[in-house]
Amino acid sequence: MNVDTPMLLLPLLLYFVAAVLYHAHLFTGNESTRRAASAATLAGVVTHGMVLMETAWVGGRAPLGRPSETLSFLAWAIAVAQVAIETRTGWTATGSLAMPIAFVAVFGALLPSGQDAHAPAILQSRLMEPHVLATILGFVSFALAFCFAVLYLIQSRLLKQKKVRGIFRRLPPLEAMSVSAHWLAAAGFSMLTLGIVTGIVWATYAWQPGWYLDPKVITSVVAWLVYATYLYASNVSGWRGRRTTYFLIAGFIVVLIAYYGVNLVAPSQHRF
Amino acid sequence: MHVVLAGVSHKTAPVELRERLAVTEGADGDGVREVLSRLRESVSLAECAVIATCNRTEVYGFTDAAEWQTELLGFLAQHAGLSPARLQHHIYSFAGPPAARHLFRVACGLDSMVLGEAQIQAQVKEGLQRAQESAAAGKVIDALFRAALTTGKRAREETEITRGAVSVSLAAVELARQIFGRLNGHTALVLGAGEMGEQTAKLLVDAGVDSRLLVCNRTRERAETLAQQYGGTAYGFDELPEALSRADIVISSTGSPHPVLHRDAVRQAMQRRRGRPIFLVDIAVPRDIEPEVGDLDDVFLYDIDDLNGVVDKNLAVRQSEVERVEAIVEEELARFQIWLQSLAVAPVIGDLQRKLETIGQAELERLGGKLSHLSDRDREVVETLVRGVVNKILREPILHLREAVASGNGHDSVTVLRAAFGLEADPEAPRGGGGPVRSTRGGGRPGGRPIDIASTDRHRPALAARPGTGGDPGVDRSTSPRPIDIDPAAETERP
Repeated sequence: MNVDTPMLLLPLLLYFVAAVLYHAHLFTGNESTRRAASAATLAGVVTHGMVLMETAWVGGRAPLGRPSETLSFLAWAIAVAQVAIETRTGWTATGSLAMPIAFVAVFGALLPSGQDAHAPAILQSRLMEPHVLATILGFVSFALAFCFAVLYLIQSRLLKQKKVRGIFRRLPPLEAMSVSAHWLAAAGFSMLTLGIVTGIVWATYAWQPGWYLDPKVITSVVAWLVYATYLYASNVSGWRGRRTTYFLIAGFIVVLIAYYGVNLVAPSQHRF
Repeated sequence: MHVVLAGVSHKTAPVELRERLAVTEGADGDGVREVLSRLRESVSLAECAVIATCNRTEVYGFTDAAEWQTELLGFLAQHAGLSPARLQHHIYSFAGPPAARHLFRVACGLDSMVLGEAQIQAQVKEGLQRAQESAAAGKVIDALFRAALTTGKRAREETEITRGAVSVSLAAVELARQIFGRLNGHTALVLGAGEMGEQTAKLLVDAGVDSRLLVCNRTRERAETLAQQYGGTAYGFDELPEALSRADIVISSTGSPHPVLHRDAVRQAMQRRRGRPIFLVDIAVPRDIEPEVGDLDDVFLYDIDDLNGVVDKNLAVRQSEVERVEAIVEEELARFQIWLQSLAVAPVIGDLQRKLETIGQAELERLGGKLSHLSDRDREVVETLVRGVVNKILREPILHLREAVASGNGHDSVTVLRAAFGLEADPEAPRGGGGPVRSTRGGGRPGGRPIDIASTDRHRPALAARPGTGGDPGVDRSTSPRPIDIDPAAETERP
């Protein structure tokens, strides 16, 4: 049982409420719903931030040592990003996708896990913190790029069907979404690269030979390749539009598999 | 005294007549100020203000003169250079709450040619400013206009009465914004330099597509003229592929009987554009762009029917909001009436206080001799006692008055109290409730017939006093119903 469990219930609830309210606002356009959603998100960020700080204080290290801690941190970072997007642009539509992700992540952090009993010594090493932090921030960027990509496809479809009222009005302009998604993907790509490089450095020292066949390593490299292709197409060749958006969705699915899917089906030298 | 109004609008007068009544605004609003000063000379209005747009000319006033209607009609007739009889059945006039209601409805765009049109807010604000500048507005007109602006602001914020484009070209620009965000930095191509094309080009330039305007026309000279006018680049029809690969927004309105933009051409352009989205607006009939073009990826094609559909839906939404806006109007009207009545009540309370204090003082002086044996301290006690009795007697009537104001019966209570305590009637006091009021209305009545009588509404919605307005009306005479703040109208419909 994780010591943080009861304290995480409040942010869990707040993220859930925010997710529901963002959806309600997207469909109804009700102003007070929007304000309530933003308030719930902000409250979630604050309470969750306090939990993380407490963990860091008690443990004397970054709250990234256990699988549950990384999930919790990841959810918090997504919620922070949502607050940042809203403050900067006033867009709330991303919240209807980002907040459910944050909710699921906190929920995942609350699930009992065998690996939680003791943080492996290897992860208590200070050297691992950059690796874990970089991969988590990469995940957060990809998740938000995914949100924008999905909203882009919805908006594009509404525009084609000429349904230009209701939800259409509450989604950000198409081009703004593709630009945001692009920057997020680029940021995520840098983080993932950093994560992979630090991982390789670590693995050459600490792991058995043949570590590069580790399923998590392989899927991560696949994800890296997907985003590399996307960035090449959009930056170097200048491609835009619907087709490039599919890369962001495919990329995030691979990232999900790499981060959380692989462990379920194949043994890995990664603890998580 | 009551708020009065006389004027003409697009609903009652044809444009020839509105032109005659129009107040020509100088660069600094001289026209209106001049009219206001003539108004104050020739019509007995304690306060006045004018709203002048190309769809309406309205004079608002605050007066107790019985003859205000005839005088105002005379004034407007003189201004238009017409006989009063000729003008009479185009003019509407109201007094009391209906006058205020009319202004509130005007401010919300309920009375506008295009329902919910937002420009009117700025025009009401301008009317108030001109009246303030020429000292024609006193505290009632001031409060009335501020309340109107508050009403308009609430309508705009709380309902969808001003939302959504209501013309085809505005709808196109709005959609372009929804695709590209801010339009500066984007390129627009105007295909066919006809009148429609030119109009939309102007809107696009206003919206921020500044130096990146491409004009493509069958006759190149025409294209160059238009391009020069807006600082754009001219293209011949043979250069269309090149123009297409550069433009993000295409407005097509050629007079061609056949489509000029085919699927293959656009597909090739999209290849060259590398999938950058393109927004095609076809406002030509017959259509300029093959409908199949709209099936291509990242191509958004809207024809005139699509845009009309958008406009119709927007108008329908505005129409469906009318009821909610009317409710806001009634709410603000009730609030304003309460404030107006509190103006009438304040002097009564003062008079009542003075009267009772005078009585107390007189009695003390009358008995002055008999009390001479009292020590200074005892005299003070007696004076305190008299003051105490006076205040106790005052308490109930004042409480009653405040309650009456809050429930909308302030005027009646004032009359009763003045009679009961033998106070003189206050000629300055505004008549918030408004008695039976006469109203002239056009309505196809044969010319020169006098004025029919419209009933004022005596059943205002009962509204609980709100903090700051009904709460302590007797004391605060100068507080206007609410502070205002209005931002420049967002929409660009011209009056």
